[in-house]
Amino acid sequence: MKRFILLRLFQTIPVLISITFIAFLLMMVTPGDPAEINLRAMMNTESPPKEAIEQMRMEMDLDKPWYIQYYSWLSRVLHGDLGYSYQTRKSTVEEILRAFPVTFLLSSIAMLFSIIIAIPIGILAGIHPNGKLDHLSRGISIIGLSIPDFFLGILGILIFSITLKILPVAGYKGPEYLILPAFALSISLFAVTMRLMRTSMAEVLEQEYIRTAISKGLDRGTIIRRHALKNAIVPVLTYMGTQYGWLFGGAMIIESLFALPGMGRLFVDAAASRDIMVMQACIMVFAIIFIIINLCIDISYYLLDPRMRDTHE
Amino acid sequence: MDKGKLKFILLGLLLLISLTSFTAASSNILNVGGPWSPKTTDPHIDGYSYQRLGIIDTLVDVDQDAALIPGLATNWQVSGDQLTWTFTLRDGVVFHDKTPFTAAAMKKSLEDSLVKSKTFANVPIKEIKAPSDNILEIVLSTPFSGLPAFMAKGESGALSPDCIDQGDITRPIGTGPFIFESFTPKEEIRTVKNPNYWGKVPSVDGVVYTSIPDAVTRSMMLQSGEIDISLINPPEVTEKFQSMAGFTVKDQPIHRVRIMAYNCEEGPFTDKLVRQAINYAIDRQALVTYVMEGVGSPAASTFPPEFFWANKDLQPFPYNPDQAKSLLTQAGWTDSNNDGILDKNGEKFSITLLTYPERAELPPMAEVIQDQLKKVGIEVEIVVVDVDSSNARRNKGDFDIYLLGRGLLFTPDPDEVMMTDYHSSGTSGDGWCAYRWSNPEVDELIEKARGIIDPSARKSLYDRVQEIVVDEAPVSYLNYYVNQDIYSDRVKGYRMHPTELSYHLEEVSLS
Repeated sequence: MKRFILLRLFQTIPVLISITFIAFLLMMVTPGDPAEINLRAMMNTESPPKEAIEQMRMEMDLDKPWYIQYYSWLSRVLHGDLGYSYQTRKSTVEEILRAFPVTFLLSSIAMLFSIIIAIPIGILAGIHPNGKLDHLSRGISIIGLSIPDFFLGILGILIFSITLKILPVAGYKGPEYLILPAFALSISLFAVTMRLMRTSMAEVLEQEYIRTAISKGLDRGTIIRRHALKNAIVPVLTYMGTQYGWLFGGAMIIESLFALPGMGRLFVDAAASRDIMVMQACIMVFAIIFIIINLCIDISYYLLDPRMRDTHE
Repeated sequence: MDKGKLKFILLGLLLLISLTSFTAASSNILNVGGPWSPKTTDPHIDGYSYQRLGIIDTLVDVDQDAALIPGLATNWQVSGDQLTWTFTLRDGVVFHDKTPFTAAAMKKSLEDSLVKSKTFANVPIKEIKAPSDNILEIVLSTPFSGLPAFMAKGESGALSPDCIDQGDITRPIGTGPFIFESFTPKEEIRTVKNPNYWGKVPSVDGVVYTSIPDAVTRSMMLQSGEIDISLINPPEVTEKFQSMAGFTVKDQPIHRVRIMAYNCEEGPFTDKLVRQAINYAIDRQALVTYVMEGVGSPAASTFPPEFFWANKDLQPFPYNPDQAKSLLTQAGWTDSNNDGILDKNGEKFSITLLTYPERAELPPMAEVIQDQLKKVGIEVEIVVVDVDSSNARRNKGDFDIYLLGRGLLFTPDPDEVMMTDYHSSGTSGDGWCAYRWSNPEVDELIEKARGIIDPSARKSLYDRVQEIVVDEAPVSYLNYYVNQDIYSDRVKGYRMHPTELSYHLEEVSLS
């Protein structure tokens, strides 16, 4: 187990290096002097003195060839120094720390919605293919896949906020402000998860070992819980895992619609105003989220599927 | 997971939703929703929001005609050599932290502004002096009549000495009608009323300004009662509210005009007759009606007629395609081969119209213009690129017509826009407006106006500049921008400001 995780961690290193390099390139090709941006923030002045900028450029190795610049930048990043925001003159880390929890909570709630609603329905639909619930869930999925998330968000606001007045429209003043956006964000994930769970379940139930279990006289509940579900859920987990990464990065439209101060808005605002170091940090956070999720998926495979264990031990 | 558990979880969720019943707009707090969020809590870096919300005051204020009026200074005058401006400060003003507002405090505050903000980069301030408690002197290195206008900018707002000593200001302490309470980036600013305000004491107990980037979201918050005023709404949103009971839509022309600037260095528009012909070929009312859904008005000159600085004798060009055609014929452009497109010396009248999509109405407007010009025999190719690229192309002269929205009074003084847009020093370099066009009389008038202090005497010079520009047509004025705010019937006494420097929330009451 330990060896497996270590191996996987080891494999992420080249990925990490290429991502940091891409983020670094962004700084190279975008106009704007990082030394000056940092000094504006550190000295709190619009135009820092020329000598100070020169000094800073030397300290940051900006006068050296690109590979030394990269090395120097990377070591600063590893020490948690991601520079300052051009817009707010605050440290980039501070900006990220403020936006990250919002998006993390938002995408996690969206994920939770899918898990607690889509998976049970998917399982039941898979157990009784072509039953009433199956047809119903198919209908819901098609609708869910064809409605864009922001439209569903607006629809949700019209129903729950304006007509029923039980949820706020937008802003971020408490946890209730996340319910509608998370719901809107979860819908396509919800639709696909439900169908995938259903298909996977129905497929597994056709397998011979299930037939064996039935003929052995095991009761249906035990068969589904102990034999079918464990196998059927693997592809669903993979899908949901990768989608979590997308939820995280793809919340931009929903965050703008619901005026949530999360990572998506931070990134869009930074891009619009060419706030280089904030953009860099966002890109790295998005990438690292993807890496962590993939790692988790691999580990969950390992735990759920004994065949994986055999190949690695 | 069995069905029992599922039911339990669903029930729990429902309970959670019903428990978190939110509270709609409460008693005497005014809730305002707008697209912007201030970048920092330091008004000397980014002063707009703090000025608009009435947290800070400036020496000079701006009235409804965009003319300068007393603010924290009751009057100001300039010395004979035009190098020393003397401001007499208002008596009895105190900061929110109870320290008195004096010339020394204002000097400290302004010196902080000069260091932190880029607003004053081109203002020739040499020294600031405080010879007595209520006299502030600003010494310039060269004469500059626009100085009082810069003293109306939010970045010059008066902050208390203690506040400046914070360095990185996290709690702005001003003298305004509202006291800063809290700020959450990209979310909200909260203020409470200042009962000791020197001017009109607010009727509301406080204001919550929420930053909502999406206009549709703002309109829905207005409907649900979460906000009372929604700032800056596009026509597709306001249209719905025009007829809706319980809401008012208010229009305010602002300091921004849509124009077409011609390439006066190369191509067909080097000919004045051709530029004048285009003025008649454009149906300005159609642009407002069909592209702006009726919001806005055809433009006659650079300043909207509601503004002090506008030359009110000028009228928008009427739509007259026959006049346009005859002017073009005069200029030598005829359709000799009957293909529907004019030609001259064997060359087709085929041009490039450059614009950008950041202002969403510009590309559709370009298409209507393309159609209108086709009717007089001009073939237009539209190029839409992002605003920076479009400006780079413009500065290289790689265009025939540049369609853009131009802000006019970022500082409530016409000098800046006159210098950059029409003076030869501005039109010969990088910029936005008239391109490689110059007129000696215009140059002389603008330079002369810089040294004149009396507003009406200055205005007569600018009136003449506007007249010449309209006649020479280095640019065509299309239409003015109009801001539309919506507010609910709870709100009384709300008015909008033409330079968007203030929301005047101290005058608002809630019923």
